[in-house]
Amino acid sequence: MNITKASDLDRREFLTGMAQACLGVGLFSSFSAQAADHGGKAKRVIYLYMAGGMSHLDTLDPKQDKEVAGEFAPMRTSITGERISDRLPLLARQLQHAAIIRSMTSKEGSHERGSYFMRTSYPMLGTIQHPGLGAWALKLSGKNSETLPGNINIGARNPIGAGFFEPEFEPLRISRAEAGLSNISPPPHVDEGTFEHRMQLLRTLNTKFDSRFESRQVDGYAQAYEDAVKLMKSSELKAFDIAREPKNLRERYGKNNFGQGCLLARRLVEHGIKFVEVTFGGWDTHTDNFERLEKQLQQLDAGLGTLLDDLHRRRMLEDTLVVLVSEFGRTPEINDGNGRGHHPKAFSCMLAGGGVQGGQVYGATDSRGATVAEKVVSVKDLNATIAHAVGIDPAHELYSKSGRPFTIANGGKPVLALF
Amino acid sequence: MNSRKALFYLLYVIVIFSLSLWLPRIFGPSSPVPTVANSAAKEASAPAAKAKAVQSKRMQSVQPAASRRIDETVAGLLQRKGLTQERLVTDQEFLRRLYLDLAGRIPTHDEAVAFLDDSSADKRSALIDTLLASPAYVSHTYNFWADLLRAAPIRGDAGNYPAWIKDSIEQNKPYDQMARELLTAEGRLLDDGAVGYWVRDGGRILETAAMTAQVFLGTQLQCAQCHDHKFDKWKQKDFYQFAAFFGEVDTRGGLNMLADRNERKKLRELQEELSPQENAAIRRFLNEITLNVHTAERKSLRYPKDYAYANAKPNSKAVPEVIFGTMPLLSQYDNHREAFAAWLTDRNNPRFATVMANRIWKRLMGIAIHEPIDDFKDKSEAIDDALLAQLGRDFTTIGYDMREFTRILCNTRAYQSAVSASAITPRNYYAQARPLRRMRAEQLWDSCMTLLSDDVDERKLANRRQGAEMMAAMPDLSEMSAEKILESVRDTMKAKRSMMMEANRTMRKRRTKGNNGPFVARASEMRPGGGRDDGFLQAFGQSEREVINGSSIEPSIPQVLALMNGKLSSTLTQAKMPLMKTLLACSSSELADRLFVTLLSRRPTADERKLVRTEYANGGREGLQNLVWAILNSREFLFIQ
Repeated sequence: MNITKASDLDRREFLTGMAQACLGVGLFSSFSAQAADHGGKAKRVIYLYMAGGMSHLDTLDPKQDKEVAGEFAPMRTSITGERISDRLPLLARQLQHAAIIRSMTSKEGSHERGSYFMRTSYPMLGTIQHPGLGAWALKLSGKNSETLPGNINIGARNPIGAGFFEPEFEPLRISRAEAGLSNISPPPHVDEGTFEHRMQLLRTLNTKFDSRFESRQVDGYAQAYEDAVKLMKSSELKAFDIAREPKNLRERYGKNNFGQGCLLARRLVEHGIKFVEVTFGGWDTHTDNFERLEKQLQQLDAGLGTLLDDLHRRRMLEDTLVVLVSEFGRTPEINDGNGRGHHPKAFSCMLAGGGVQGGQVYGATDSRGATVAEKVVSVKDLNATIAHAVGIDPAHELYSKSGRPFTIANGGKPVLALF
Repeated sequence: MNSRKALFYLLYVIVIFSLSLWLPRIFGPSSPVPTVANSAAKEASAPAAKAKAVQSKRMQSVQPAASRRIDETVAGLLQRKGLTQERLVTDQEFLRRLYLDLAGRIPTHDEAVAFLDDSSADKRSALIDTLLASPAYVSHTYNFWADLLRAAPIRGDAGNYPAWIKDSIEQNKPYDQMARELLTAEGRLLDDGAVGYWVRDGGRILETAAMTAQVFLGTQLQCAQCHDHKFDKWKQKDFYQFAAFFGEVDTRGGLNMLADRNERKKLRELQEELSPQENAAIRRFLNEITLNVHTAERKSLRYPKDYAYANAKPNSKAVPEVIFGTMPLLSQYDNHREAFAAWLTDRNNPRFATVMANRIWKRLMGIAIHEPIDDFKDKSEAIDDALLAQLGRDFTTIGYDMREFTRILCNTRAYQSAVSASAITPRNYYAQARPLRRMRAEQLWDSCMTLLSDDVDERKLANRRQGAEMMAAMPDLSEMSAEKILESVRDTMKAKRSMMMEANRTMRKRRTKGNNGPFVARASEMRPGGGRDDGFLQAFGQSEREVINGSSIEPSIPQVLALMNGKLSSTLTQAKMPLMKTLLACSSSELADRLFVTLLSRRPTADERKLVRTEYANGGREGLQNLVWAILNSREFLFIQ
């Protein structure tokens, strides 16, 4: 039974439980750890989100047509016969680990709706907030660490949250990798002794109140304070400290938010965090597409290329799924501002590790990159594929408070050929 | 019926209506009537009973008749359920609770003392009236509306939608008028903030229709947007017929309003000659000044192409039809939305008044008479149908005056009940006691702001409204040449920029002096997720206004970390901040009082005085800082009794 707040248990909760029981969707419905088709290998996910609509034509699906290609050119990769943009040289040498999907398609052409759809598999509505992929992964396959949170977002101002799931599935936000967790230690002028003394004062003040009232919320806060202090003292906190990484490795990832974010993501999943997202903005190149992408791609290449290599060397790629995705692609037509517009009809993404077969390209677009020519993969299908990699049954239903069923992929089917 | 009968009927209605309005005013509140409050008072010990009896008598002597009638209904309900009303709140409890419920913040030290030391019989009613008339009420109530309407500044616009809401609250615009203005808004967002209602969802009328049903009718239609509802009676056809009232709505074509096609082409060419950044900025500006909604009479809503049911043809036009009550005659109205608004706000509409009355009850009492507040069905799920109906009638009778309705509710014995020791949830709530609730994110932030400044209600951000006014004051561009349009646009952009810079400069000066302290302004003055509060509000569950009523008061670790270790608490405890300065200037005998009245709006107990004395003796200034920190993090601060 999907138990949410005790104070809201009502007819709908009962109905939810009944629905789950009667409609055959039980709590332990089929998510097996190791499916025969290599699903379920990913114990953790690093989700790299390129916010703004990353041009597929200037990255993973370059075209020979000079009018479409513009200022960049394709270059050879470690996948025989396949090319990607010449601005991604490091990544080009790592593609034996990755699967590129060139046949993504979506109907959502606005940033807000496009990114919401990509992250939740549902269209944005004013009447309900859907949980993001991280929340789903955490809810259905559990935490790996005792004191550390399971769902982290690095770099986004307002990441997709837990929707109608419980607040414990909300992602913990880290605005900059180098800064680490905010508010994790008291301000400099408060030493350990003072902090302990303050906590003692707090306990004194709370005793009477806590004993006066029987309240689930009050208990919740008592617990949250305990957990927060535990986290503050946790030895696992060093996971958030990228200064512990060797200097040259930090430099290889790139001294920018994205690069350091990738490095932090690797550390975090190494320490047992289930789902880490790194958000990298600046892809909305309506003007000066090539000038701006030079810089963006240099950072993407260093960060992602080093990440794949690093994971591979640590033998972490087998059970870590890396996703590179954006809400949509960009138009083959280059406008007067030397830029490209939004293009959801056809775009690319990339999966690596976590059971996904490396060294392959799945699907294709036409000669201009305007439409999908073969093997369409919808956003829902992509999310179903991610679910499959993590060992979550894409058809597993969970219920909102009003009794409506939702799934991680909203009906999408995993692309099994990728595994 | 014939005209004579109609005339008599009309006269009859007018007489009855007038009587119901004027009689209460002529005869005033009635003399004390035996109530649960009185009988409960007798049971307590003698002096306490006397105090309670005096309080109850005080309450009854100034209580509006409508409040008394509500208490009578509640008393009947409690009796049937075998429950007793929780005791009356003490002055201290009332003070803090009322400020938080009406002003959205704790009282300042002086405000608290003024109330606590006041000995007049009607001080509670007087405080209710004072707070309802204050700017703090506008700020607090704005959050309620912004959450309900999902109001956020739209696509960089100068915040005209929020400004319209604040104006409406300040003017105490009646609820039915607000609803009508929102639903029938027409023209540019710059000229009429109510247009925000339509532009909010980019003209996607299906979404606005689903929102309309939920907000104004407390009805969940959206499941039926894609298929016949699984649990409730709504069919997909019902949804489309409901949404069809909005079929003529068009939010596009803004740029076409700007100038004729030739001039627009020339304008685009001129723009291309500018730097890409300036070109983009001008494009954004033009989009902003042309955000609009208008009625396109030839436009209509069609059933989806894959419509699966036999009761309508796929892709055929959907004809407006009401989901209950009497269908208005469309030809009598200027457009379909006007017809819809008339139907919605009709006095005989069973849900219109009740839904909002129920929302306001919940806002003040903690739990609604009908839960969930957004899911009214044919079969009532109210804890008491009579009470719910009474609230709806009262609200209608007073002309949908939300302030007056709030006043009536705050003057009830039900509102002034204490929090019970045992948990009150929607499953066992019958208005017998107040449920214990955490402060909302905005209340917590605003309370901290109160501790950081002397004029928290006056602090406004860089005047977003001024920006909108500047843009609205631009000359009519439609007759101008492309060159002139460009010039006018650039001039306005420049003026707006310097106005904002000047306002930001002023704001920066007001920031807590010294360090990088938190930005001192109330939550209603800041954009959710805007970052001016370092994510404090978001961490504590403020709604991002993407979903209706999307806020939360559930605990989380980032919240606790922010309150324990964050900038807000360290700034509050800084020696040079007004709070600490005032405390340090106190004599040792005044210290404990000052501390507790300022932070918790009550006087300290003997034990607490001792604690303060000891802490100050042992730690001096740091000891005081520790106490401030501890109280700020305490359950009593965070929760509302």
